[in-house]
Amino acid sequence: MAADDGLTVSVSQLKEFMICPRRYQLHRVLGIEPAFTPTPLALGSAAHAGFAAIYTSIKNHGEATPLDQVIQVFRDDWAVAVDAPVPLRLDEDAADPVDTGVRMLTAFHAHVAAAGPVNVVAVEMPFHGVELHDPDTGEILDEKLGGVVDLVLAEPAGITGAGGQMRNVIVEHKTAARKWTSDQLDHDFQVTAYQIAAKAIGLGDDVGLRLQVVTKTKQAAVIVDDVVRDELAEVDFLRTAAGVLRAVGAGAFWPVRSWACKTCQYAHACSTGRR
Amino acid sequence: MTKTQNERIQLFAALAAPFPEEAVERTDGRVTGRGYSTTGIKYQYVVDRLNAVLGVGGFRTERTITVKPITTAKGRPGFEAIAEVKLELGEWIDGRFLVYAQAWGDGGHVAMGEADSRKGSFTNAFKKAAAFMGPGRDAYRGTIDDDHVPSDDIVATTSAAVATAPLSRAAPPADSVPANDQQDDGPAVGPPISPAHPVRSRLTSRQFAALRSLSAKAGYEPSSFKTEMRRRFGVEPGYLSARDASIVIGEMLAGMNGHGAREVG
Repeated sequence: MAADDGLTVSVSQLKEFMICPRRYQLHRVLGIEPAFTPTPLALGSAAHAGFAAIYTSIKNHGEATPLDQVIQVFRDDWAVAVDAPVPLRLDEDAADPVDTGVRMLTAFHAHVAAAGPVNVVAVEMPFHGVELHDPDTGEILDEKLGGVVDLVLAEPAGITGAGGQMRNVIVEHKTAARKWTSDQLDHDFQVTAYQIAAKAIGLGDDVGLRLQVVTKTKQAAVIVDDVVRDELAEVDFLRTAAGVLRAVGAGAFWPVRSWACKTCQYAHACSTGRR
Repeated sequence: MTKTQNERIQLFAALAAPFPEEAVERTDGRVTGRGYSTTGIKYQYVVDRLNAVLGVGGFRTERTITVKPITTAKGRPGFEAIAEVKLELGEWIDGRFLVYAQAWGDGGHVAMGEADSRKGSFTNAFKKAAAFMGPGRDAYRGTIDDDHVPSDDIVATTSAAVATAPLSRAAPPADSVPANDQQDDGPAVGPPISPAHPVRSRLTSRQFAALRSLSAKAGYEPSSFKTEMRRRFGVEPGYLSARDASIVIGEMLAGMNGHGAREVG
């Protein structure tokens, strides 16, 4: 699907608005520079670069990149974050983020090796122009959904894969302090959005959805969860997107005061009376 | 003087951009005595849109107006004027106006004075012709955004008691003739429906696409265009208001058509 030159909305935009509309306004609308980059954000980004390197190598060469090269990819990405104009905010009480990242990638690399051969369809696959509609009114929304899918695998359809049928499985990688709760697995709408997108971009009407969560614990672990999103989940997502986009379109950006304000990247601009 | 298909699409997007609420005028058939209600865009807003998008001298009109004296059912004298207006978009080059788009519109108006009837018929015909090119088209499609309906109107027209609701001002006799043409005829419309969603002020996707395309043609890097929009309007390009986006699109088109400066700002 060709890139759309019109207005686009991403899952991260929707999530940011739902966390705090005022933060969304400062970040997306007014274009305020963040005061800092949180360590977890930079760490997650660098880890994703390592995950992508592993699967790109499998796709191109049939085998994973050696661990030392994966770690170098991580270090390179981390170095970019450290040298970026926006400073990193390191948590003094937390473990060294580079050590954490190395642990995570080591665990992930071992997990991939243990899981056996996989058929990689795409890595870091961008998509654009996915039409969204209001499920209650049928109105086509002006903004189109866009994003990047971490990984697409082709796997046998069904439990046994009998009949040689294959289907695509959308895989999202998450880095987290701990294992995801069942609520997170059940309700995270990123994979729901990607299921909707998959139909529009030709990945199929019956895609699998998988979350590979890598924990930052001392014993880093990779937890794989296959999740299902039914029609109601899709309606929920569309209703959420329509609501957020209506609020954005109308310029409704209210602050949500919480414990998160203390660590917000935009707190410096939030209370200065800017519109 | 020719335009590419892409230029024509962008031009239409700029001309057809939504108008602000203050540009919308409504008449109540029970007040005007015409027997039907109208919703339209005020004449000067249409003219301003053409000037903003095309630049001064970027369009011209020709008119033919016929006027006849009339007598109302109550025996009052008046005038009925019928105008035929040709609206042309083009460019003056060496004293000649080179046309690239043309539309016709008819309009009529009844007033007690001949001058007012002429004036009213012209503005009606002009707005019809302009709608062919985009400005005010929503009025004739009957799709002026419900958001434009004043809140009082929404309450009144969606109420089951609307038919018997008292008017805020006394209705003149049904056969009276307006003293002037400030309330131009627009297309007849039914009662507006209740808005399904809050007011959208953000630019449309088509406007955003036009901004991206035009700014690139004007030589802007995306980052410098963002900086310029933030300097002028305080927001990122994707969050301009529809009105501001329309202004910027008009400025850039005018710059490219030689009507003004190439730079936005």
